[in-house]
Amino acid sequence: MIQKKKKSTFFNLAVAIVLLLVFLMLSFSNQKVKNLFFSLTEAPKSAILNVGDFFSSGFKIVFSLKDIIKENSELKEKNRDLIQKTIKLEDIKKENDLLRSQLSLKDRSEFNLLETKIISFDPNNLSDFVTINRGEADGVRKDMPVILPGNILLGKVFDVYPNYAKVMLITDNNNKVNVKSFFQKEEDRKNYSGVLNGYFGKSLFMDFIEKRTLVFQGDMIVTSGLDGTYPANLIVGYVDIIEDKDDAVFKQAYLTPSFLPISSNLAFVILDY
Amino acid sequence: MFNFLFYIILFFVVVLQSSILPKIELFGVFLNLSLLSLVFLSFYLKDRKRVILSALFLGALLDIFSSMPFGIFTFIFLIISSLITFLLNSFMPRDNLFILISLLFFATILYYVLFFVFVNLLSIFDATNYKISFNINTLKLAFFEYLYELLFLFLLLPLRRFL
Repeated sequence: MIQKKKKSTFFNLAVAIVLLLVFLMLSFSNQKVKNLFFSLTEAPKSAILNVGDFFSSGFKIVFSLKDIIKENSELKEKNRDLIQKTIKLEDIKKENDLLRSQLSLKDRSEFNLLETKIISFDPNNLSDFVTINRGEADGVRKDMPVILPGNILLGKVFDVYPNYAKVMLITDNNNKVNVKSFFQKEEDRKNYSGVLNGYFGKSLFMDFIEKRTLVFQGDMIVTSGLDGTYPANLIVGYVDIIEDKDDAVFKQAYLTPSFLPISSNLAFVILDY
Repeated sequence: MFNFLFYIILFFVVVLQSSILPKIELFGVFLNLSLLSLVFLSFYLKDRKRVILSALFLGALLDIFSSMPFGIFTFIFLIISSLITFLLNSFMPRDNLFILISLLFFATILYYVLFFVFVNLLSIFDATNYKISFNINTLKLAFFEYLYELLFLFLLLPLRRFL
């Protein structure tokens, strides 16, 4: 019995020592080890993600058929509005191009984008990260903004490995973004701005909204570009719940992020803007 | 052969948790399959060495796939599995489902508390610039995660005869 106990203590001690040594070793080559494991597991993860997407999209279609019909008619209406707007904007663009050429200003067009794929998600609920299959070798650097197709803000690069990078999503509590409202139709009310960060359950919390401004449910929120990390006018989300307490200095709002649900694994790193 | 298959399954548990499971959310929370597996193994596996090795294996893999400094999950899993084995060897019977359910609750709360403590401790020593707050929302997250795990625990129960 005593011998058995001694054996068990010895085993525990051996495990602890091995663990300590492994940690010490890994802390020196953390980046390389992680990069190696990401490359080893990229194929099975991509396969699982693709199979999962296939099934989930199938289920979604069956269960949301009623919503799809409703959404379709709403989109048709929106499309009509957008066609009108496009015609107007086309004229403004022509005028703007002409003025820019007269003033010899540089073209302020699109961003310099790097196409990438989301290969995995952070395996815990307390932090919101995704891994992308582009890294230092592709020119990805820390704090570079990452977007989804349609200029939808996903987050910023948090950690860079030789061939992979970790992206901190905007729904993470540690990610702060300077934002402003964007009215899709011409409105009498004043634009408002604020600072947002991630909130419980994959939503967003917007703070420091000027008290006298009018905030409505469904308002589109975009980046303001003031923080220096994200370029202006990237779509962030839509106002869901508004909080206007009498004793508070600012208004607050809870937002539904636009990037959710992540249906495609395609993303872009903004290398330059 | 069994050993090899056992660790391959554990490997896929972590792969699933970092690929498809985050896409299947309930109330903004996804299933922590590795924690559930750890509690399940700690409860039903009688070989203590294998429990510790499973905790090390699962924890190390989670550390590799996560964005947190290396070692956090390994230590958390080692502590949780050691505590469960200690409690079971001391005074708790292994054949009571209620005890398994209670241990799962205890393990989920402990996981959140330890995660909060380790991450913030490491941020004090500049090992990471990431911080986590512990408030009522964190507890809500833990509670929903526990409900999710509980749901899947009943699906795992038939597998206990293979251990």
